[in-house]
Amino acid sequence: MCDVAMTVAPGEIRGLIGPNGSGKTTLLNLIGGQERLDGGEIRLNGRRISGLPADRVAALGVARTFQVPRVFRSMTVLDNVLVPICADHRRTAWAQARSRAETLLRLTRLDAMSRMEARALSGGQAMLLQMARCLAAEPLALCLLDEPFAGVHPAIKERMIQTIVQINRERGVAFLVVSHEMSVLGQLAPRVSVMHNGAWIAEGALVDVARNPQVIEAYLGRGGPGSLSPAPGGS
Amino acid sequence: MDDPIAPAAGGVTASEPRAPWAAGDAVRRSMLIAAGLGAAALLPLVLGTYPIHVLTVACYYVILASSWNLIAGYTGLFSLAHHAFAGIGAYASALLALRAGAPVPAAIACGGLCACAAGYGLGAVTLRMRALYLALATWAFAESVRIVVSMEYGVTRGDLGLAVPLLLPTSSPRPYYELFLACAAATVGGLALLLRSRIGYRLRAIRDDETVARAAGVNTVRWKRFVFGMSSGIAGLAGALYGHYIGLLSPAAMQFDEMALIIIMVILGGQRTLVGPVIGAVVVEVASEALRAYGQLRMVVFALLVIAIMRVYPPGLAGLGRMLWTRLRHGLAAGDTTGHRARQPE
Repeated sequence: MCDVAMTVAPGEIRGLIGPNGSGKTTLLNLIGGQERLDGGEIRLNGRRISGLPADRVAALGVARTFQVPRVFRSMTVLDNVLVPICADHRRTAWAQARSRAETLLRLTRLDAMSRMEARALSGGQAMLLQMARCLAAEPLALCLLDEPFAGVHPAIKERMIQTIVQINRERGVAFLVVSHEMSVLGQLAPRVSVMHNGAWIAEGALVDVARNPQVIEAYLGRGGPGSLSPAPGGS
Repeated sequence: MDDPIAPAAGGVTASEPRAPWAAGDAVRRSMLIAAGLGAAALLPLVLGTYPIHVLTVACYYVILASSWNLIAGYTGLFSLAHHAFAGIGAYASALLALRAGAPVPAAIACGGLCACAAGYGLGAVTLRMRALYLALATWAFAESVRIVVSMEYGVTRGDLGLAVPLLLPTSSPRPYYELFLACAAATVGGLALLLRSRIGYRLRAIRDDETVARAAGVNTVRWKRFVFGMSSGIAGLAGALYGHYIGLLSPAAMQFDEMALIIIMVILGGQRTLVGPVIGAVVVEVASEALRAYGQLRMVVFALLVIAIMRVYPPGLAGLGRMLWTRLRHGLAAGDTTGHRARQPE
């Protein structure tokens, strides 16, 4: 990955698109501390976070979900959300921690399953649980969502979108959302960034980016149709 | 159309320690535990010297099995060096008492600390290892310790055995039984508190998915070292206590058989439960004594039992007991409901 320069403003929802293998997940791994940078730097609110271990990055306010849902399978749904509340840097009182976790489960409509083991959840429910776990982090400045809508039932997708919008509005949390679903990104993100072969190739509103020849070429190859339009429903 | 967010029928509910607020029947559970401990403490009144000795050894294994369950069952670090840490604690304590003239209780505490330090060190060295690699590395460590103890004749008296001063000035097993019972209860109680605390959440998160735990803000490096040090320290204390009870140490107690026995106890009783290792340790130790005439064939029987449990019912005896109890309760409740309906007027 090279020539990637981006800034996500506080409280912004930014889309991140690009063909498979373009480096979107790698970028999220680098920001989240799951992988190390060879060069360059990543800053959060002016503070350098590149090179820090993932738990330190989380303590500074970066939370994430994974492309293939990763939940603590043998723990209950409630316990999954309690893990970030019990993280090393947190000192939340038990009663408050529980109340916070239950609020997030209600928000994601997983409250009816709070006593179930996470292994029993469907793929979409596990995605929702990942999001609830992500939002349980405190402080929370930036949420990295890696293809949260892939293969998810439309009702769950709708719930996820509502949750993102609500948390963004209420807590001013910034979101970096990797997705191939242009219609959803059109609803959520005023601006999207495009990656190809590990490099940054375009940035702007989705409708503008979709007309960018470099983006069209990256998605469709040289000589493809003249425009890449957001799917119906996109803005 | 079905609600895709609604829970599916027959979802699995949790069996692991619950958070403090979720312990609805905590009072009833505490009373049951207190009654069980009271009954166990009264056993010397009805049992002879030999059965009490067997139960004392069973309590020793309860401590070892419970502390191994902490590291392997709850944290997912499959260490095969637990018996070696018990040996390190036993030899460190014995040598301190014999060579430095330390009082036995102080020597036991130091034995535990030595095992804790060794475990912490091993945890640090094997930090990035999982599954088979961790098992092999810890097994290699355990074998190395056993070989060193066997060969350092000048210090440990090797296979001839090291005579160790007794902790209590009596040859009766009864006071030792009471002491070991108290230590076993303290171990299980302490682990219960630990697992219900924030640390318990962190450990279980590490077991399920270390990368995600880290992304959620858990310092996995710190807690893996901690759990290695803590479980090894408990094993070291148990080993030291046992040495000063039996009065003779030999490297034979550090052979892999001993580790296999601990694993059998935990799996048979039910891993990832607090009561499982307790049941497993008592059942295996008592059965082991009952089948003593069959020599090493006992291990074959236990191994087959473990295979059967893993294949047929992984939650082990604790899980089996819980299932039967739930069915019985539901059966009784259904009976009550039926009876109530039958009594209702037409």
